[in-house]
Amino acid sequence: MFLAKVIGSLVSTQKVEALRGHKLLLVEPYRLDTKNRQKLVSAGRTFVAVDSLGAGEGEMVLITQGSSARLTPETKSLPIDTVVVGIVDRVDVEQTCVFDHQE
Amino acid sequence: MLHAKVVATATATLKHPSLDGQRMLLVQAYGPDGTTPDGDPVLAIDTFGAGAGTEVVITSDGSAAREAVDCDTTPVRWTVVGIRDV
Amino acid sequence: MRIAKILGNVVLGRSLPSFEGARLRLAVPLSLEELQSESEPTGETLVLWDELGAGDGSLIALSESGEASQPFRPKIKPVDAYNAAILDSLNFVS
Repeated sequence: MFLAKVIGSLVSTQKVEALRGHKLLLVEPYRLDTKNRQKLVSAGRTFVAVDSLGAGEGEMVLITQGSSARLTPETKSLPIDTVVVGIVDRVDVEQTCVFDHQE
Repeated sequence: MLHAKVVATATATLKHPSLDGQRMLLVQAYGPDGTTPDGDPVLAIDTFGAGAGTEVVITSDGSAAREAVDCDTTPVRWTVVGIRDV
Repeated sequence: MRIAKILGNVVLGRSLPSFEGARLRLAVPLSLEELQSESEPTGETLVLWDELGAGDGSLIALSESGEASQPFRPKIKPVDAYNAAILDSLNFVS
């Protein structure tokens, strides 16, 4: 799984039948800064993820990728490889908080 | 399948039950020049007793891994399927 | 399975029902050079499911993609990274 920030939603009218009614989000993966591990920074990529949790723009989410993305009751028959599994509340690195949903 | 060199042996006390009694090797695949590492090294299950420095053939076939450790729910993916002749 | 170093902790607010109560750890996979020199890891940051109780700084066996969800069968759980073992030692070939 990886951490990602929701940067928007993606609307698609013409799409495969199986995806009808499913919300697609644009997400930006975040990683620990390699210089100092005290902050999360963008990994410089974007993914499209299926979301059933109602994650909002700006929220940090947890993403599952690959064939495992289909291992939920909602996604088991969808042609997808990226799904939101949770909304992140807090991330600590070596006892130091690097992300807090409240802030 | 990849051709890789045994770089270390690994031991673990706390582990998935399917790893009980299994020999775990850290193996590294190399590029065509034979010296530049190709990706990160991986832990592979070894049933041959491959020693340090040995060149081995590993497979990522999950069903082979499940068979090697005799467990349908193992998280293991890589297994040693052969040792390169010297 | 690659080897990863545990760096921290992730707590979810809302989640899919299958992720409720999950113990999630932040980790980074290590290259051979990083393992041998014990230098600061520079790989991608990932989040893994931990049932073994790995502490910060531990080296673990990281099961990825499809194999990471196998331990939960017959339940289905969208897990793509799983702590398969906490390593006690790595004995390098000299």
